[in-house]
Amino acid sequence: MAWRTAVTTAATLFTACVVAASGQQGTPTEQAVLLSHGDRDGGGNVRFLLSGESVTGLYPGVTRKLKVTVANPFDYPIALRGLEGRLVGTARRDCPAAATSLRVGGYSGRLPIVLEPHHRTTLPGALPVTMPRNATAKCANTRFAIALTGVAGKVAR
Amino acid sequence: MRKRLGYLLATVVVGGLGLAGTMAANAEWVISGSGQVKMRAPAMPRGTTPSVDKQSSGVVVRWDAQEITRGVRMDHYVVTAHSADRPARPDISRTVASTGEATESVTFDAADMAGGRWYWTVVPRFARWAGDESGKSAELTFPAPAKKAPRAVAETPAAAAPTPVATVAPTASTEAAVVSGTAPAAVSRSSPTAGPTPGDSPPSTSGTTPSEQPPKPVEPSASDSAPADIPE
Repeated sequence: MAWRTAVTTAATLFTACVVAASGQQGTPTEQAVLLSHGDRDGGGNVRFLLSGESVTGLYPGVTRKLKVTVANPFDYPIALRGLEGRLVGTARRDCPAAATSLRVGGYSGRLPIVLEPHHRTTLPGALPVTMPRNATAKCANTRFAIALTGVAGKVAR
Repeated sequence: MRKRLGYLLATVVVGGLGLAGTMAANAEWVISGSGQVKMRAPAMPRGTTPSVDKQSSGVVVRWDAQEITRGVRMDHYVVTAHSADRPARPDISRTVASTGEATESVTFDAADMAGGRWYWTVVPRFARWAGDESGKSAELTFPAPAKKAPRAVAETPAAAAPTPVATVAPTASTEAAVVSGTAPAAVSRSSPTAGPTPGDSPPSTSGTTPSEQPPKPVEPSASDSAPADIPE
């Protein structure tokens, strides 16, 4: 009788473990949100760095390409799986940080891209940044801040 | 037998947990990256001060085309004629689509300008964006249309009334009233530049009062051909 209980318990634990392992894969965006507080994630890992070349000549109706550079600070290669940009602020209240002022599209290049340890590279693709034709006049001569977020995974050697 | 089975189960459970844990750890090894980029939209430039060229049909206003950023011209301009008279007449605006040329221009009809003194400004625009208004162009004075003159003259003697004149220009009314006493004097306005500017005349509106009539006749006599309703 006791052994039946033991078997049932073991089976339950195993199933729960497998389900948990498969269910936590989630989407890259969710993971990024989960790990993006502070300079380190919950496990103490350092984040890799993203930087972008400032775009000039933004005016109503135009789309510019935002080139992004990725730096891998780790001792192992990582594969960049996702990259996105989001307008997070403007210098003027009358020019809201919304899609009516500036839109950032999805990364135009192919992913994943493998980044060697301690290596820095400018991605071949870009994030399209579009100022809508009907952007308010208050957006002229205004600064915009775009947050870049990326998700990568460790590459097995 | 039972003991063996128990050990086997324990081994399976521990092994299974270890395997699942490793799988989970590998699956969870997601690293995030972040950064921020700042960028600035260009400022709209101030309009360029236009030049004006008076012609028989009106006035041609010209200005240099402008760019919002290198190589990208404004898509349109708003050119406004401002009245320099006192009291001022309503502004007259024209929206001019960019031609892509280095110089843009627009013509204002003489009929719209008649009987007034005007200057022009330009505001560059791109979509909903607008630059600052340009400096003022030179002022131009336009005589009142000749057609109205005879009628005004004809009316003045009859009633010496300020009403017909007043519709044309406030200054004219003053002078017309004065002139009416003396007759065809209205002619004095034929030379637009000769008389006082419309802007100067408003004060004289008070002159419509009879008490001020005496001094007025002097002016009309200076030019005896202008219709009474022509301000300048």
